[in-house]
Amino acid sequence: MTAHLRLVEVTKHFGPTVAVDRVSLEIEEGSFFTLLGPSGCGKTTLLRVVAGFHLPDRGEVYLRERRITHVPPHLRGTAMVFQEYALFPHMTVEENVAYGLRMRRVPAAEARARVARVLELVGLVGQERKYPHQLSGGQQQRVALARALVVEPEVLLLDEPLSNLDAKLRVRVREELRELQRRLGQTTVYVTHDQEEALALSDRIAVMNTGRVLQVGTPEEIYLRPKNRFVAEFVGLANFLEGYWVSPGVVRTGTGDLRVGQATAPGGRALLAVRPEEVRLHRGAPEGAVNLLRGRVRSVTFLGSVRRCTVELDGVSWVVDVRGEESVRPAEEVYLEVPPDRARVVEEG
Amino acid sequence: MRRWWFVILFSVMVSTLPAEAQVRRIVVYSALPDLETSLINREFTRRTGIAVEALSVAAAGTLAARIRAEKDRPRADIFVGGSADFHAPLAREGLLQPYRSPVAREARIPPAFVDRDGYWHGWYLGILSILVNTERWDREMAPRRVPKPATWDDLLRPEFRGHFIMPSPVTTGAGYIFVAGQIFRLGEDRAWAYLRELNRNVAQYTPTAPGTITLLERGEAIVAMMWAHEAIGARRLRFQPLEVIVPPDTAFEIGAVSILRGAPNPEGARAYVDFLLTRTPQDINARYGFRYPVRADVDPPAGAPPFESVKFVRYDREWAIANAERVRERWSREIGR
Amino acid sequence: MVTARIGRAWVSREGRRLLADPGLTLAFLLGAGALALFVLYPTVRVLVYPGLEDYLAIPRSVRWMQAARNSLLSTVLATTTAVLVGLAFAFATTRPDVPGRAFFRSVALLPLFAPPFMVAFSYILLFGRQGLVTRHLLGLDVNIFGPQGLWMVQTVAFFPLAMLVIAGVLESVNPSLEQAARNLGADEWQVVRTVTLALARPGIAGAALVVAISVLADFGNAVVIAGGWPLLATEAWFRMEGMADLRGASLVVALLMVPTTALFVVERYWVGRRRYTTVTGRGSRLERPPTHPVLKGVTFAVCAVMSALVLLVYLGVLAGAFTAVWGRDWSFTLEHWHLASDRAATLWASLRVAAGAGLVTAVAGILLAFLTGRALPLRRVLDFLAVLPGALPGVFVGVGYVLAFNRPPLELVGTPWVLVLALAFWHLPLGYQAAVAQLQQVDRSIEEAAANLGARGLHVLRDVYLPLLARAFVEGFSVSFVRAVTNVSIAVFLVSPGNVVATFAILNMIGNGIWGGAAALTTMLLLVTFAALGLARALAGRVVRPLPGG
Repeated sequence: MTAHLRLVEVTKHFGPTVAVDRVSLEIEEGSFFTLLGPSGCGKTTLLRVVAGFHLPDRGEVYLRERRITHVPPHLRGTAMVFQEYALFPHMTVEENVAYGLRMRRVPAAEARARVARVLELVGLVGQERKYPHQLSGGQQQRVALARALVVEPEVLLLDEPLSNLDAKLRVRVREELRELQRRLGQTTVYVTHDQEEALALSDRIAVMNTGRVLQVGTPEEIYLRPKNRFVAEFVGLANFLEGYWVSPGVVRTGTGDLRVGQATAPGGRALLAVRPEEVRLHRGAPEGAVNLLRGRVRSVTFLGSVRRCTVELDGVSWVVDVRGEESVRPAEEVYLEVPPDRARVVEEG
Repeated sequence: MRRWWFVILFSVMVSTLPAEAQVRRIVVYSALPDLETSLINREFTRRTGIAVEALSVAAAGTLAARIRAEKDRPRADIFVGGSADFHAPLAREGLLQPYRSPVAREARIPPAFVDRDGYWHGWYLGILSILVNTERWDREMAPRRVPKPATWDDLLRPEFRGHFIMPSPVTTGAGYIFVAGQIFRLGEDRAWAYLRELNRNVAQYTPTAPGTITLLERGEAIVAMMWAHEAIGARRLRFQPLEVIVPPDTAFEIGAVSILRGAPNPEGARAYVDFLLTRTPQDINARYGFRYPVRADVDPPAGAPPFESVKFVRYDREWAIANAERVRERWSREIGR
Repeated sequence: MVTARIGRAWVSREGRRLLADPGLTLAFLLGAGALALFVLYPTVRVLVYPGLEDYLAIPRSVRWMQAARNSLLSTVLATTTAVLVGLAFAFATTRPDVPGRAFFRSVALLPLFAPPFMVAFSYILLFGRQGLVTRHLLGLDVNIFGPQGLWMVQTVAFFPLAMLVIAGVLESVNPSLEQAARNLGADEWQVVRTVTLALARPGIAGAALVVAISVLADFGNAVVIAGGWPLLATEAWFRMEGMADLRGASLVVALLMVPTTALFVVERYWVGRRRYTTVTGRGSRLERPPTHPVLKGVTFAVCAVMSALVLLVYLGVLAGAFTAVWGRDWSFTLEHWHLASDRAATLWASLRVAAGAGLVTAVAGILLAFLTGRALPLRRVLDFLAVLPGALPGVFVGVGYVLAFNRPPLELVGTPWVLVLALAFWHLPLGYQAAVAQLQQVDRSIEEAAANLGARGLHVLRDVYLPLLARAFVEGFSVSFVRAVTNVSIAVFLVSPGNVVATFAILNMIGNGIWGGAAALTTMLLLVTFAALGLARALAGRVVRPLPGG
């Protein structure tokens, strides 16, 4: 399947700072693609390059194989929902939403119909005559979304649209957004720093840091098979262990030898990452268990469904999640079992 | 914080630095230009030792208005300059004090130039005349063989359409005296007809009297009506191409000086009046201001025709003052620009 | 009824709070008293000085009706062009891709520092019949006096006001809005039309009203260049000057006050309220979109031409100061400077008066801003009186002070104080609004913390606000100072022997045709103004800089 949107080696400097560093991505039609990363990682800049607000210093942007790198924003076929919504305060909801249609010289009757349809889609029927300052945050966000959708763009761009909403609302809107996107089959590029959001919404995620794309994949791939330390740490929690290869599939660490699922290149350093929920905690050493590490519980935090324990291993501190009803107490001596297929090798960085 | 108090205190002190408080001084409101005023005042101080603080405004009307405004506590001692037409109404309102200067008798100043009741003394004279910008005239009028205007009626020539300026009768003394002079010359009805016809030639009625001179200098007009002394001064001091023509049946102004009632220093004021009637100030006025002296023993201004040779219209000053408002109102209505 | 209302105000909760705090009560009485005495009283005096029959006779006076018509015409013309030019400048200075922005902005501010008659004076020298440009360079015979000259002069003199207001509004338009419009399909020109200018519309209307008030009340330029064309603003002066008619003068200024107040009220209470607030979002700010090339070109051209005209104002005066006899003898001379330095005392008088006025404006502005910021009785009345002078023409204030303070117990006419106070309170709205803006930034909780620790009302003022208000003080002082030094309309009524200010002397010289001397003295006045202002700011900078957020 040819990509709907394609970026090739896109690079953008601001003075001496490199905001986006040789990013290449392919986004399929109808998919929900997320750029995930901490603030300052370049995801918003990249989005703006796609929108046409920034001209990349190097690299190209293709839309359906047509080069749009130098095409001005108003001729691109992308529509953006800004973080602060950027609703026109001097226009009503209806006028705001109809704006793009007006610029495209859509006849008034047709425009009205399309506006009405899209307002129904986002659940804002009855608010047409209101002004932005009369609406709540959530409603403003829907107007911004409606305004972008009504022009039926090739690609919909969303710049952290949920960050101004409170937590409960955020989850609800998130679900509605995903539902809407699926229904319309709208190619969407989404920018966020919230990894939970990214995991919940996306078909594919690109994790970014300091202007580079570190890994691209489905949410499962990103979470279960992070390629490097940063991705492992940024998406979900991760415990790390450093060691070196002694033989294929075996890594020697400070706390003992661990059997690892991957049979990769022997020799050299290895970094292992394990998720807290993947570690099994035992009071006594279980029979026939592989990859057993001994440690002492330092603290336990009850989080409702899960009890989060901090366990001191030899010089390393691990986070282990056990079921809520299990009782673990600080200063207890425990054995941590790491299933081999859960001990993943990741790169540094 | 402390620094602030100093700043504030300093500013207050600076802004209230009073003008020197001297015991022997008089305050003069002068409608004469700066130059003459300061020369005359300096001479006065030299002679009498009394310091003079002067406010010089080239508009007698403003000064008269000030005097009215300050009537409950006059700040000035002397009102000098401007026609007697400004002083007389103040006298009628009881704002001046009478004085009969011995110098007037001594110098045998004609009684017509001194107020009957002693409220003001005339000490210079000015003659209304026709003025011509010779540069423009030679360029534009002479080739067409237009004769230079010699009488008031000559001003009605159609060739002057749009090229004639004069001070506004509504806002200036000079303008009003001109209008009154025409009334005395022709009688009311014919005078208004004359003024209406003259109006067709007028490019502008300047709001201030000196404005006429400056515009004429700049060549904004070719012919004008104003005090002779202003034009002569312009010609001599600023080398402006102006010619003065004194027509018959012209009017003149009596430049006056009066003492304010309730003046802070009446004795000094009286000394000032005496002083103005002596030779030196009149000489200064003639030499720098080109105004005519009232004393016979002072040389007339250079370049001006002798006063006695001028044929004046019979000007009834009392009538002119009494009817000023009515005449001005009618002028505004019928011609009003 | 009024007394009952006042009585009720005092007994109210706010009143009781006030009475419980003697320091605050004192400040309140001081502030209210100053306003009543120096703003309200002179205004009322002017309005009641003529009798009712005088007012009714106004329509019958041909000249005044003419003056009113002319004033209206010149206001409409000059306001339109000034706002258009101001819009061009505002646009140029807020778009990042118009060349020469910084230059245009600096040049556009220059007319604000010039005495009001300076533009007229300079243009007579340059563009009149004997003008350097019109006659000697182009060989034209141009009459600059009258409505056409006035229109040009007023446009140049007042467009900076329009620029400042409109630039402020344009700046506040969030670039995201413009970029969003582009994103939705608007090209550069459509963005400007449907978003930028649409959002700036209330600001443009406000600018027009502010400029209109200034044009209507313009005395300095009108008196120099309007020629015989009657105007309301100059009529008062002429009534006094030519006819010693104080009653007539009061009538005319009262007549003038009606439209200026109306414009003022409309601007403050209707247009001013409708400003759009565009939320400044989080995240990095986008740049403004590029400007349409034609728009860029037109804006640049307009700004370039107008900048040239502004610079010519200064150059004209400078040239006049060194030319022997303008139009006649072009040789270089220093003689006019001797003449001007003879009148150097007037420069000192100007500085003294301006310093006093600046001081009073700054202090009064701060005091009143403090008072109206709290829940005190008569707060609205105080606020109204503090901004009322903005509606009054200068000539109105001049006549008002003459009438109000010419007899005991408050006899200030003839002293330097009457001029200082008249100017100080005429500029009060500027100092007051600067202080209010500063005060609004102070978090209420800081004050409550101080009160909680035991500081009484006046101590709160001293310990919490005063340091933060240093900036408001400097701003109020500076703007009042500059305007006081260049003021003409009030000075002509209120100067007294020993306190003749420079603008007055200059006007006299212009009136007497002593152009060289006037030009030289004007140049000296400008130099002194800039120097004094620079000094004041430098001094203040040492106090203000260490403060956070300054």
